Amino acid sequence: MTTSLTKLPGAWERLTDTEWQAWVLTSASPAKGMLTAAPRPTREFEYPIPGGKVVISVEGDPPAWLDPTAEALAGLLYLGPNWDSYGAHPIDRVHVFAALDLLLLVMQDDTPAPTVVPTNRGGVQLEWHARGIDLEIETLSLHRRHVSFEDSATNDEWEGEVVSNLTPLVDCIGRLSRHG
Amino acid sequence: MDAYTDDPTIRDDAGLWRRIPPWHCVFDGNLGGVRPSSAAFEDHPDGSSMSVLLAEIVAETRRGAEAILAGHEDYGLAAITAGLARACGQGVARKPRSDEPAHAEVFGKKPKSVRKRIAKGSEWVLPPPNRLASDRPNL
Repeated sequence: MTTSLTKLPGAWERLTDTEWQAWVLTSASPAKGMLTAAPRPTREFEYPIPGGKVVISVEGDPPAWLDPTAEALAGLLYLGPNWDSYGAHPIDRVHVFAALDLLLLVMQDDTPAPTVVPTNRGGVQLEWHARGIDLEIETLSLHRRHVSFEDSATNDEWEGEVVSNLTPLVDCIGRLSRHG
Repeated sequence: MDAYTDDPTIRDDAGLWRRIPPWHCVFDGNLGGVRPSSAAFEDHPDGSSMSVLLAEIVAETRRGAEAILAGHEDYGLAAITAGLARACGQGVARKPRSDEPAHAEVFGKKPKSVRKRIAKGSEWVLPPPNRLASDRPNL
């Protein structure tokens, strides 16, 4: 599956050229069509947001988690001020993009979809609570995330900030997929 | 900012109520039901401490859970005990307002570990009425 995140109006304004180039993402998973060199169909999935839309291009079959997650993330941008009755800020679209970008980098095709949760400071939190695992990822900025992980089956737990090295997070995601 | 002091007249078993918006209700497959997210137990974005309602005062003012959720009928109402908050390194202080005599604040640093513990230790006074996509079992 090749997935690219092509449009997120408003988020681009704070990106450098280097960050822009990094956003066309390619999964390492070969599709069946690669064996025969047959072209794989590309489909675009659109999710309305205030002032525009998010477009995700997928080559091959999209993973089951992609559509509900992208829809939930885009939906957060419709939350107005004080959406929690305690003065919460509207969600910053940079955090929506950061979450989508991260998921496209670390998720496997069979990983369960996360629960998408807004934070009162305008950020995004992705959560999984199943199979003895508790995993929470909070976007702090475009490339900084706070991760909290617990696995009751192994008593493993860790918490920390993940920036450029996504290996620990990829391992957590892998455990979510394997426990099924 | 006012200096807060934990109020010993608020017993450890005192109920502290907090409104939970639908976007903060998550399905926890490990616990077998819907509970508040850790994101529901943050301090105010302006830096002030987390607002709660003292259940005892709510009762004294002849109100129930439904009255607290008036205007927020799609929310849930969760309760923690003052003892749980204190066990998480927090203090509890009465901060009555002219429009809310039961208002109090839970003050103290709230790292992720604290917010998770509070979220998992909470109980529903009134669960959210509607199940959203966020609380469906995904697995």
